[in-house]
Amino acid sequence: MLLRKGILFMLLFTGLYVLFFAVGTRVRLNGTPIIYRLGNVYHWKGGDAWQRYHEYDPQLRHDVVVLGSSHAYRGYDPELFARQGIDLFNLGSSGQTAMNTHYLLDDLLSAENTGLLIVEVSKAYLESDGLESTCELVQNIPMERAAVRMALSLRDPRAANLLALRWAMHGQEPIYRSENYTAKGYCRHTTNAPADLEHRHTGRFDPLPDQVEHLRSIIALCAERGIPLVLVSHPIPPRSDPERHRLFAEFLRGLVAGTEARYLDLATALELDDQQHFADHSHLNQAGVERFVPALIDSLTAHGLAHPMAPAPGTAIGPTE
Amino acid sequence: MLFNSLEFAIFFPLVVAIHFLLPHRLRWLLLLVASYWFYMAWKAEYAVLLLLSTAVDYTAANGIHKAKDQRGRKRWLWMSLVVNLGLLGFFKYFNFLNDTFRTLSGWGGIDYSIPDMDLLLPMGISFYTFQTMSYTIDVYRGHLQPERHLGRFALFVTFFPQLVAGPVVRAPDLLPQFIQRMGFDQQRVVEGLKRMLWGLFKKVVIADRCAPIVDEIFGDPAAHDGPLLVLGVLLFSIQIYCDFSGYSDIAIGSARVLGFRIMENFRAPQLAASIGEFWSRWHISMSAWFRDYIYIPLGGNRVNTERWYFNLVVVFFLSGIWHGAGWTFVIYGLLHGAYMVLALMTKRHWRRFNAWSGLVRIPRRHHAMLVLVTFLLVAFSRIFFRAESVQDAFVMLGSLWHFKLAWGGLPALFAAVKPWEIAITLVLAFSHLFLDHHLEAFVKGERRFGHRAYSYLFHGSLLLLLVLFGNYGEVAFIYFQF
Repeated sequence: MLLRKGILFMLLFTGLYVLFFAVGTRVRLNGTPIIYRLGNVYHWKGGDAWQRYHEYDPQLRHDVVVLGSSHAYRGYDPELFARQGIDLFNLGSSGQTAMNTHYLLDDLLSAENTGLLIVEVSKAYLESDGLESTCELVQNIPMERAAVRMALSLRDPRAANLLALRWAMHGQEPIYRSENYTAKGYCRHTTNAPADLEHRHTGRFDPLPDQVEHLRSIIALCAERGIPLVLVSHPIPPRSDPERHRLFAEFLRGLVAGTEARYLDLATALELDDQQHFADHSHLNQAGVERFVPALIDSLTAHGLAHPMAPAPGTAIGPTE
Repeated sequence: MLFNSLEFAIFFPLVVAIHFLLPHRLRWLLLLVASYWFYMAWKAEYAVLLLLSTAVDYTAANGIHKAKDQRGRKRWLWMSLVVNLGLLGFFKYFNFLNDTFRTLSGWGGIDYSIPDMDLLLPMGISFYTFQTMSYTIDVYRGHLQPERHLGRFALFVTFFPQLVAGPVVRAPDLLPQFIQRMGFDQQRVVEGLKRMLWGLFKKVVIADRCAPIVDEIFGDPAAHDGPLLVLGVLLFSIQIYCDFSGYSDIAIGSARVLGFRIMENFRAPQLAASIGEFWSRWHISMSAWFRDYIYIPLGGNRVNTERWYFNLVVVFFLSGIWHGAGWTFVIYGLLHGAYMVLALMTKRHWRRFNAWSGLVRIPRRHHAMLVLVTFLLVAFSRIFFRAESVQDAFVMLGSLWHFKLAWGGLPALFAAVKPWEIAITLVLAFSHLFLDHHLEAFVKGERRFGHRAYSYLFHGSLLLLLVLFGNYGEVAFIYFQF
């Protein structure tokens, strides 16, 4: 009796649930499905994430693949690398954390399609729970397995909602496209940071244990698959919190010690200007990127990490088969 | 472990399943282990305090029972009170008192250098301390025989559904239920699950959606104008009710699934027509505790008028400080004491005014007015309850009356919470405020749906709202900090 009632109740609930997503994704308000008005987790399908992951083809080999947060897709310009003969694809996404990187890496990258993996790391990469990035990626990446794993990492009903939205939107065109998106995953920003921008100094770095575990898994997975891995911290504005960065860099150096991964800390290596080279409190603008990328390539070369991506003259970059 | 966590969603069905599979004589052991597990999932070390509290009150109650004379009985009672209040005082009030002494010493030009301690307040300490104290006092008063079975007594102290935020259960209500044999009763399980669903809905959909808006407004009151501050105060009133009564619903529901009955802790406090009535509807178990163990021993209302007022103020002062170690809570308690005393002092005048103004001839509208005034008075007092400091509370009070429509803090609020999310939250929160007592009657089984299909639809919709509109991320219950 109880079982029958329970099944009946769950059937009714499932019906209402499916109806909600069917209506919410099809009824539009000002051109966008009304479901997007109902909560933060219902991330719009489209934008640079959709463009990036639909442009990326795992069958093609790239000398360098970059993963990480918006620091990655706004800081590593494939055009600047191409000038040095390096083919780079940027797979960064907004608020990407170690958890997101781990699942993307697991689904997409191998020694065959990746010469060198750069993971752009900043404090938030290990301090945030990855919700922002998960919401965006679950709606926009074509890889089913990674999307499900990211959604399930939330460990609450939001996981079901994200996946239900993903599947309900299946086959629909993206709602919008990013104007800053150029190609190969990169977004170009040319604006300067405002002069009165405030930088908060907390002097603290509090990594989440789960994210640290995911970073360890990334290092282990790269070693297992034979993908050379470099963790890079790109420049930070001179007025930002130096103590916080020191703690973070120290932590990362400890983490990579004894592993095959390397950590390149370029946070304060260049003399940059808070306004001229940054778009806001942490992201480089194009002028900053143009200073940073050559310095990064020099640094990679100096550390002997440029080898896997060194193009042999006349080598065509293309499918690995 | 939080009720609104994945861990609990796994833990609870497992405990229920094993509970009903085990023979009756072993069930107390399972529940005791489960209760410690539940508590230790938060901070294992602090289980020592639970053990200590259990050992002290078990020993004290049996000591009182065996003592040959009044002096001996009193000695055991004092031992229990000193240990329980000592632990509570140390963990909850040490830094507050230390800060106060430091400030006073500074004013007097005295060098006071005892540093604050880095203490984490043990979750639920105020609840289980009061529960065990009531047991020992009841044994001392001769209202109760001490429990001989240490395991069952330990379970009474730690019973996981109500361990960390009440209701503060009395021993005569709960201990006999541990002995009673019970089987798996479908109807009871369904009742319990419905109650849990209702509690989760109130917590996750209403309270936790209000939380970011309230946090933004109370976090920087100087940045907001009158209308937004008023909104923040009203929303906080709804938030704290849904948060705390939601916890009680889950506690009562989960105990019900396991076969136990726990007292009700709320009875539509938003419908109270006076502050006195509010306290008979809000956190009933704690109000009853203060009445039975402080107010009545002080003489209650069977004393002269001045002493009666004094007793009321003392009880509300203690109730305020019970909530938290801070001057904001002291003011919150005293404000309620003042409300009560003022209401009593002016009772005669109000009666005359009502007759003169004709309000007595429109009793329903008059009652509605009283309900509104009571709601606003309580909401007002909660400015002190929620404010991060006394200074913040007074900043709010200063700006609350500026009803210019400047909406200065709106951009900051919209940066924290998207406008349409605020709109949805407002619709959910205020509809809940008005519909709560109607819907709750169905959940508690006091009213029945005309057809079973309506019940399915109602509970299905609750679950749907919970899944779709809940604010997840394991936001802790507000009363856990007390």
